[in-house]
Amino acid sequence: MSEATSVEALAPSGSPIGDGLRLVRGYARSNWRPFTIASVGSVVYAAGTVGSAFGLGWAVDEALVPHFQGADSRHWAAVAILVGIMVIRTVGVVARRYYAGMTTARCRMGLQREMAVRLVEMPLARLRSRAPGTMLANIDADSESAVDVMHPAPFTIGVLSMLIFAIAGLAAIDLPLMFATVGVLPIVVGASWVTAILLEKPTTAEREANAAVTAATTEIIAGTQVIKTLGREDAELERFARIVETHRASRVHVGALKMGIDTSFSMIPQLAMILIVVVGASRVASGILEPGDLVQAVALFGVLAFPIQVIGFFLTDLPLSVVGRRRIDALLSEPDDPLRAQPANPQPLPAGPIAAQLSDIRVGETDHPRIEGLTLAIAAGETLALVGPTGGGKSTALDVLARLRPIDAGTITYDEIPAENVADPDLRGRVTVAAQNAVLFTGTVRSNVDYGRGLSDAEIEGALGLAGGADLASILPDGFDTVVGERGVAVSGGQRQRIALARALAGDPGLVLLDDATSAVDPVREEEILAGLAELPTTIVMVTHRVAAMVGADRVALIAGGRVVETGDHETLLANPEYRDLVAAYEREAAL
Amino acid sequence: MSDSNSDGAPFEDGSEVTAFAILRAGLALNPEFRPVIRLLLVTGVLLSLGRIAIPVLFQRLIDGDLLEGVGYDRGELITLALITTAVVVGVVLLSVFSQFVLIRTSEQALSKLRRVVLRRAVDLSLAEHATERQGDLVSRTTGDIEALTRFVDWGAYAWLVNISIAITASLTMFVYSWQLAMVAVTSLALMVPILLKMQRARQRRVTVVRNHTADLLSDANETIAGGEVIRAFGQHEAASHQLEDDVDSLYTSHLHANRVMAVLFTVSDIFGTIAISAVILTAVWLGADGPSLGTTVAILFLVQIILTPIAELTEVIDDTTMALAGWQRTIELATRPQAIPPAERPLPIHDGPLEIDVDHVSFAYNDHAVLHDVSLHVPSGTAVAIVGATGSGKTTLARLLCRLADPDQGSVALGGVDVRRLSEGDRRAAVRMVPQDGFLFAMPVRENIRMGRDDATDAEIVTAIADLGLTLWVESLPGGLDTEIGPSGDGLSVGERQLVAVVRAALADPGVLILDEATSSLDPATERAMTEALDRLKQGRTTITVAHRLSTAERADLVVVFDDGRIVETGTHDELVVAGGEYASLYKAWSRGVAI
Repeated sequence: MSEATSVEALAPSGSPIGDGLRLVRGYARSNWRPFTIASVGSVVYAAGTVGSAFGLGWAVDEALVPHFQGADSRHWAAVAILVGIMVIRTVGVVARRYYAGMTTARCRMGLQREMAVRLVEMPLARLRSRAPGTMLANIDADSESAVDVMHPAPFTIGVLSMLIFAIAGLAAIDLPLMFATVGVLPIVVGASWVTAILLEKPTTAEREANAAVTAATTEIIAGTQVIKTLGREDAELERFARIVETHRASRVHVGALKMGIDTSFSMIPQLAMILIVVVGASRVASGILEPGDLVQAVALFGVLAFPIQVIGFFLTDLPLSVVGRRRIDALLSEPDDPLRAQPANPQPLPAGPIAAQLSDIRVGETDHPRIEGLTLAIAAGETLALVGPTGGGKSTALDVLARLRPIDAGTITYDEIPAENVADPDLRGRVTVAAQNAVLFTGTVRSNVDYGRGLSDAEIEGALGLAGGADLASILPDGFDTVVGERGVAVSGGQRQRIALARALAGDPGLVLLDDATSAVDPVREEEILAGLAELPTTIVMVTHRVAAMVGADRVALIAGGRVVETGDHETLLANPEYRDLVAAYEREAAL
Repeated sequence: MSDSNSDGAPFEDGSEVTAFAILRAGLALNPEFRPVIRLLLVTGVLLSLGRIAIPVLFQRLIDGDLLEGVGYDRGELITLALITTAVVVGVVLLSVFSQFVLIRTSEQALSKLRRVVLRRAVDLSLAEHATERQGDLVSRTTGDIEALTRFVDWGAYAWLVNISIAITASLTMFVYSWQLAMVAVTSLALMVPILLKMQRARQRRVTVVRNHTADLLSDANETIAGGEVIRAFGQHEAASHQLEDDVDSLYTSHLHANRVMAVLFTVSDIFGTIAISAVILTAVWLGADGPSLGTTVAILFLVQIILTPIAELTEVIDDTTMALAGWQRTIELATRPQAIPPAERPLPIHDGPLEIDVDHVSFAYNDHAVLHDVSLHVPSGTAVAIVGATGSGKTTLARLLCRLADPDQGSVALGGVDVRRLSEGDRRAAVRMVPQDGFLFAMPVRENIRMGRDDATDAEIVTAIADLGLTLWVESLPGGLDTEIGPSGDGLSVGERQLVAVVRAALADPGVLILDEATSSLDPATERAMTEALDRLKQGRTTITVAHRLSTAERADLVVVFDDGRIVETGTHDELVVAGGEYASLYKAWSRGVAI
């Protein structure tokens, strides 16, 4: 299945048909086996279909006409021929349908797998800049429309060969008859070309309107509680109705265009048949042709009536697939996270608590950096509280320490090893994070703490004991085997935070980074948790608003205006008026 | 979801649902689709007239002694050909017109369905929102309707048009020769039960496809939301493998469904050959008493004309089953009994601060009991603080007060009137909740505030902000009131989002204010602004605060302590500290925290 996963972006060229055909070629190449079988099946089917017209003509000439003229009728032979041809067609159809379906599904699987990898490999900032609803639409509807064209593609090849067989067949019957009908072909091709060009822009508009509907739906469902508490249901649904209306109008536009084209296509074989009858009848009358020949000729075009429309479907699907693919390519073109680049000379982090050093760090442009000239030394095994006003840079500093945010200047070291020399898996095993917004994953409490690291039950329960307080197991309906639901919706905010904290503490980390990670936990429990953390043989850096945590920390760093203003223990820092003000405010608003 | 089928649900639990049952339920929900069906029938008849024109032409030519080479009349041939051409072209023009009307009507109906379904998704009780997977709700309101849309675009059209073509062609056969027609129609009719059986197999497999799609989307949703955790723990491979596994399962289910489809298509071909053979054999067997050569040939063509629509139908069964599965899920959602039924004969309520009576209320989220027999009386104008551990039922009680859900037992009354007896408008005017997560919409701050009361003027918004003492804060925003908010509230901190929610509530001026305090600590500046704004907002109303800050409880007139879904203590801050119960121990933990 490796052939399904090489996905190259579709370069724009300006010609919708050209782009579409290159898209089909790319898909066909990456899944050439099923595509080839489907195409061969399609040609077999085409041959069988053309053959069946000859079979029918033969049956008329050799079974029916002699019968009506009182001669010997070879009707059993006619039936045998018809059935034989039918078997050939059936084999062709099954091969075409099954393998065309497989080609389509594989192409889609390839795109979806690439997108899955992109979602986790792109830089965090890029992920956050994209609307979740759009990314979900990329995975779902866009991937479907991007490959839809592969369903009719092998059939189109079959239909083209069927046309060639039919023309050859007509030439074998009678040359003038053939010329009368071959004239239809340029009309079909020309009309198809125009169709694809006409459809591209309205189709793009329709897809955009469709994406807007999905985005609005996602937003409204996510905000349902707020919408309800505000009594905004009607207003929001009115806004939605306007978006739906735009969508509807664009769909009517595309639909009317497509319908007009498809219906006109359906007329072409019928008109061709009339032409054959007129030309053929005079040839029969003048004794050049047998009536069976005329039946053959008309039957040939009769069986082409539906397949010829397939060319139309294929050409109208082309721009749709191109549009879908472009939307996916926008996601697939996201770069890899540079923070995860494998170092040329990786140096392993030693065991035990980690000492870290941030030197002269800048994040953001020089004209308005989030932090600038930030220098902070963190000793192995200490508990350091980061304190300061909102927007002062504490969380940014923590993100930098966690290697979740690239820096624009400065150096980071862990145990004196430059951060860029530490391999990502090594770092992630030793440096862990818990944030205020605790995100859990579908699964049990236990599986969320283990989080794919294969920890023992003792380690998991130990971490939960530290982070959760003694009562966590008893307040969860099924203890540590409680299912937390998608994104942890089944447990409360405080419980979520405690589980996320346990995740960060489990697995013997050397450096634990906590960003207001116990903000939703009640003070009695928080006190227990902080006391437990102080005993841990690991380095802890925590952003906090709780005075108790500042008092309990080995050191406090006051961060404001994007740099470290002062470090020291709580008592020492109290001499700083800015720190004193903060503490006073926090005390006044102590959480309950 | 399994217990969602109560009275009024259109489908019985677990039983196989037929396409007709779905169609009936769908038409009941969307009567706009009825004219669509009539239009399709008209189009079908028109197109079938176009199709049979050619076999009729043929019969006329052959039986007009063309065979003998005598009686050939060039003029008559041209006339016949011209008439046939006129029929074919005229029919196409008419069908283009009827299809255009069709597209307009069906798009109208679909856009209504989108609105109805989203409305119902929003109306679901919060108990269902908590457990329904959000990704699943989104897929019902988008993907499933999308499948239905594709079906209406072309599947439904193919069904009705092709069925009328088949019927017209069969009738024409009977006009020519009833014996040959019987033979042909009987042979073709044999395939119907086979096709139906295969269609059902296909539908089952398509349902599996949809379920795998829902799994993929909900895992992708989680991967997006948990982007930071995945990166921080280096779980990239595990996360992408999980998604890739979902993609692979989806692929396998597609192949599985595709297998039925591949075979399905051959059925009409096999039976078509049987029918043609049977017609030839019958014509020979009937001999000179039977139909003429021209008639026999015309019937052979008519058999092919019937086959084409049947072949097309097997093509659209794919879309049809997909659409039916989607439609069924959509109808199930759209016809769920309304979680919060409106009051039938609403009672009036007075203006100003209201008293609150909670009377023996019990409530469970699905099977998870959250409130047990809670009773509470709050005199009008009182400021109440509810405290207790997370998960003790505080927020649930707040939600019941503004009727985001109804209690399973007991009642909630505002100003002496059961909230279930209040009109929606009165209830919204009477009680307003400031939720913990101040969800903001992707529009400017000003418009986010105006959501508190639609008809509020810009001047009223500015006044409300000034009255709450928030003018300085608004000025500190990069664009003031015009600051644009990104998707999902980006650009403002949690505290700032809640400030917006506070201004919204002030615009609404309710008699009862419910406040779910932000659990997270705010920075001191926001915190000060918040405290002052709330103190001003609480003036002249009854307020219930789900408190996370001790200072809030200290300032409240009445403190209510929750533990495990029950009220364990009620009283003022001072009384409760003296009483030495649960609240006193919370208070001690706090004072130790600052005193060390």
